[in-house]
Amino acid sequence: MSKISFNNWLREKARVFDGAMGSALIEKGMKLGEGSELQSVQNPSWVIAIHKDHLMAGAEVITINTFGVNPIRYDNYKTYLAAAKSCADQAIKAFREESGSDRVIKVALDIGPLGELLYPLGKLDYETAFEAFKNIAVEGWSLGCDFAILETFTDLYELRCAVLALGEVPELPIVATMSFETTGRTFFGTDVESMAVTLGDLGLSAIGFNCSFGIAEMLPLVEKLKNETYLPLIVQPNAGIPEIIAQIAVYKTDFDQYAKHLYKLLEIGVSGIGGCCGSGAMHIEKIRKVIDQWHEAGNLPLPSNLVYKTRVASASKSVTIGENIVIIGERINPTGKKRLKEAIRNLEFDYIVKEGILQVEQGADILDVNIGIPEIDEADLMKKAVLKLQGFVDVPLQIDSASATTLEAGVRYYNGKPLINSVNGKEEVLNSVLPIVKKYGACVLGLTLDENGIPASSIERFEIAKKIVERAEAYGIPRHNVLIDCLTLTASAQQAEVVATLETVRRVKQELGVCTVLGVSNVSFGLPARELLNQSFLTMALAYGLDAPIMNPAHAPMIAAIKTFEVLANKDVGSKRYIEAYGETSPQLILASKEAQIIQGATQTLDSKGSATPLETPKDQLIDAIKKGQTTVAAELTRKLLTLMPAVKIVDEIIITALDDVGKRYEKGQIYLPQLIQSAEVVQAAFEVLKLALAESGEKGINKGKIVLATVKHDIHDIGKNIVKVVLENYGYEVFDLGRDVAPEKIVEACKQNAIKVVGLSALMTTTVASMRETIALLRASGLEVSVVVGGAVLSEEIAEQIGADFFAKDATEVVRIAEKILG
Amino acid sequence: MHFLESYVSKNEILRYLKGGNGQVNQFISEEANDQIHALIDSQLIESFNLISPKSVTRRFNLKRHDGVIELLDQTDQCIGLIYSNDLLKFLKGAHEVVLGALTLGSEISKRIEKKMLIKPSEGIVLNACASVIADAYADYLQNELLSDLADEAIYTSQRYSPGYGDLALTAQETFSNLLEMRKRIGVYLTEQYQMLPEKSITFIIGLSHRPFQSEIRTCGTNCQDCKLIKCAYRRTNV
Repeated sequence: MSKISFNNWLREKARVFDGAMGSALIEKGMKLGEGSELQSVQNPSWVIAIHKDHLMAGAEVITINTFGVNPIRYDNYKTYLAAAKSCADQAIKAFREESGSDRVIKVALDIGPLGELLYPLGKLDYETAFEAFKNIAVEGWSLGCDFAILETFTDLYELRCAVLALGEVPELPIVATMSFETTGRTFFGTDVESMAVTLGDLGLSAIGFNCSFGIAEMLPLVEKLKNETYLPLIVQPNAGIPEIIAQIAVYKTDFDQYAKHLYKLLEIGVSGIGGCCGSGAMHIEKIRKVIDQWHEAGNLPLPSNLVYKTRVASASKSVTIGENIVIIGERINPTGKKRLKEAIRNLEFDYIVKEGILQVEQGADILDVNIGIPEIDEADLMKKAVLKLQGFVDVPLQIDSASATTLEAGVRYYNGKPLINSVNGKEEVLNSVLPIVKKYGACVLGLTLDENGIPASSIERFEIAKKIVERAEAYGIPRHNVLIDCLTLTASAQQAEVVATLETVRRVKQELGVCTVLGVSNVSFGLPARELLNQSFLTMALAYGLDAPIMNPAHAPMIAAIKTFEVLANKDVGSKRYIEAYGETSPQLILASKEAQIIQGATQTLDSKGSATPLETPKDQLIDAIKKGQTTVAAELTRKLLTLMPAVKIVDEIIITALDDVGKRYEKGQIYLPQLIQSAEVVQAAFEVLKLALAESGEKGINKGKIVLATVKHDIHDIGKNIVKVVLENYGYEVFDLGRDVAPEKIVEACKQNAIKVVGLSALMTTTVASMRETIALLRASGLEVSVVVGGAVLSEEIAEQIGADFFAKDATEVVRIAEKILG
Repeated sequence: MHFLESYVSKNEILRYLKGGNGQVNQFISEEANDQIHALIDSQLIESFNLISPKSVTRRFNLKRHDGVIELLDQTDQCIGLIYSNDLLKFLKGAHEVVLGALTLGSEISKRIEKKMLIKPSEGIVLNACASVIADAYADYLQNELLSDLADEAIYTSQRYSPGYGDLALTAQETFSNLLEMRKRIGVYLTEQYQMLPEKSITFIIGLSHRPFQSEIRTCGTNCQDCKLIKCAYRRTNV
């Protein structure tokens, strides 16, 4: 059966799916905690009887008993798949013989989650999971299943991986369903919109919900989903919310209510209804009856009347482009940024992630991610950056690279629907990038340039835009997934062409009906007071129809241009967002730089408090800020100090002095740990300024020595280790943070590679002290001359000695004393 | 007000924040004291906005052997084993047990991780709040259990968890299977039987017709007085 004919079957009429397997097997006598999938082999008569009951009750779909079968759990998964298919075949045969019915029955290959968490949350490698799902699909298809149904997924990342893997069997129709909580999100935080957007263009036959709760609780989610997708909906709720009696979940259904809710589901436009936990033949019979009556009354499932929109999503947040102005944060891009280049080269993902988090806080709706610098494995780095970033920021990502391999690495591991930056009118680029866009159901940004460069005239640029849109459509990419960047030129060099860009924006938007993107700040290159030009150009571009500027969200005047435009263009109805943002601010402050505002704020507070001895020198002010934990003023004060003294002196004379004072107060019990860390944060902010200045001047950095830190193997608690890291960095040490659950071999490797003299190991549980001992033994056996410092709740001087450590540190400040002793 | 708020002790949170030296902060200045309390208050509000508490509990009959407890289903068939002499002593007199698992969900762990990166001073406090709220949730569930059992004239023991005494963390596997933790509350086990999301607890409570007289302390504050020498959570330097 081909995908198209299955899709047609699903759209012709509302279809009756089947009931639950697991809860029915428990009723037959299966023990709690035993695998349902084993019953296809151990008690096939139970499985056959359950299928047959569902068929007799009117089911048109039989979901075979393979929910828990996968190659990761079972080496002999093929045996279980075949046994389950055979049970279904026997049930269908028995049903036909007994009833004489020739009803069309579809056999669904049931695929559940693999039962392990994907990296980086867990240890399961993405490609291993991908292979597992693919192998199930290949086997299920060869056994003759009509389609696959993915059920009970709560991790969108795993589900997306499964859908892509099943796509390797091109003819296999796929239905993807997830389980939600009453909060409207899954356990992993995915909401209905993000699910619909992420899965929407991956070639699914249908999408929906299963399990979770009863039909009543599911209705609002179904209604929401209908408004978010043009795919047919499949819904398989539980038979209500169970009461646990003894150990058994008992479901009680009020069948009159149930029928009413079923009717409502059909009205919303659902294409298939079945049941999950607790739903048996009685439920299926009811579904059959309601659907038949509904058809008899002349109804059919509503085709979607959804207006297509340009949308991207992370796993927990979706963004629509073309309504409100969407800000694409541009700062994760090493062009012209020495500090970021250094961070990329040193794999300092923390720096990259912080840059991301900060932009989101400043108002970015989407983050551009470009990590292209020479002499690195860009694809591998993009994969790592995406995995790291998506754990910390919830806005969708824009994967930015000139290399198709890097683009694919980024979008493959992305948990959501990304925006690909970019394709252009060059044949070679169109042919290499568009298949990736199609395969991963992404949006793509098309640049109006081709083999001949950027055309000066608006007409030619429009032609390229048109070509990109048409070629995308030829690849099966819907038009609303294409965005066009008409390319900003600099007013200093090509003054006449600035308007050509804007004219193209207007035509692309009106005539091609796609959304537009522009990197705005290029316009002012080579001219003074660039922010003024940028701001005016942005306002003009918005008026011409720009939907999503790529910009630095830290620039208050640019944000102001957008917010004011949204009022004047009637997008911010009732000026709500404008009032919220500026209701209590004076225009001078909005236009002043952010840091100036902070400094001004800080001095004002000091004045108003009438501080006894006004702090006159920036040196005293920084010491005071460190002691009081005032982070906001640190950067500006450090910049001031840099004009007065060298960086090394700032560290030795100011930072260390102040930190020692804070450390003493902590040891005396005069402050709590978070207060010590607040001071450390001030120092961190100061250090960022110092590092930036040093990177730009090409001077050697501040480095008192190198230290490796790790939470040992099997231990996932790393808060203590992170505190030690912050404090050590404060004192000017370079920390190689290997993370948590780190294998001994990896620690030895890091020590060798970086000529390390001091290693800090952390463990929180007695069970993982064994890993610590193992790590120390391996370090000694490898002949490295390192001093090992250990710490963590379960450690003591005594245990440290027993496991062969050189030092025990009771807290972070003590690690510093030890490091000073060894490294100076 | 969140239903767990009245179960949360601010002193407990402060205890977490004393850090490695664990000194009583009698020298703390009023300013520093106010500041820490304000910080805790703000992070508590944030915690309550981020958590989505979920739990699952089930009752089992039990059979005792030397060093092992058999958990029985409603037909008295064995469906799980727990190996622990300390737990056997702890459950002396119990005719039934309740197994339970709870989680605060993954959002709060994500936020703690994010804060540890950009604002560790708040991250530490948020982490402490979450740990204390998880314990508070366990207290709440225990109270619920007590009131559910009010008609049955049944006494309950304290809570006992995998990792205490000689009850190895491997027992988490039994909890996970019998409580269907992944499916019902979204809690996964790592290879070494630690739970994800991190702010999750598993526990066992004994039910008896007579009051429990267990001498074994089960967790909380005073490791030095505790008889569970091999406890995975034992702090040696308190």
